[in-house]
Amino acid sequence: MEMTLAQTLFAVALGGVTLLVTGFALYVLSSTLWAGRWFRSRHRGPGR
Amino acid sequence: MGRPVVQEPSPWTGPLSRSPGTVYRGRSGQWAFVAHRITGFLVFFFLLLHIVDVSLVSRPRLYNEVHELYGNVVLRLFEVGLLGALVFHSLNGLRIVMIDFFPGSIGNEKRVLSAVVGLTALLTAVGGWIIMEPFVEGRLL
Repeated sequence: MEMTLAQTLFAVALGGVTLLVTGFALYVLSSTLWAGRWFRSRHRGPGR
Repeated sequence: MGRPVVQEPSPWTGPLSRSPGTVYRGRSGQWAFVAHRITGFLVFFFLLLHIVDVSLVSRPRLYNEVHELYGNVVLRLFEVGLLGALVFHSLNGLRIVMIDFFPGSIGNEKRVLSAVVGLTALLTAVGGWIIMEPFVEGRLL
């Protein structure tokens, strides 16, 4: 099936949203590992 | 001329932090927060695209062309994911409202989250079957 211009543009936009959401998901998930580095913790050393 | 204001370092930021254990990791509430952020982001950005595709209704040929895409198996899988995100975001939102209105319910927070996850999985499986059924039965593509 050959795609029309409108379908191509919409598919590109959907792909862009998918990439954006994937990037944001990776950022949020990774933030659980590094976002606490400014805080003292009872379980970790100071200033880490 | 008043006295110069000496700004105290914030207890919440910087290496001089005096706030022990302010970041909690790995507990159910944090993972619910992470999932809520991600699903909210997905739902919001898809909503923007949805506004675009629905706004084509005044141009029937374009509207039909764009909506033909939704029959594609890749987009059907995307819709199953979107359904899961939407259901989780809605149910978890209700859980947050519950905790806001009834602070005493925080003791049951983990069990309610389990119910949210279970209900999300169930509703997504049922909805996902309905979305994928035409493809599974070979009526599409």
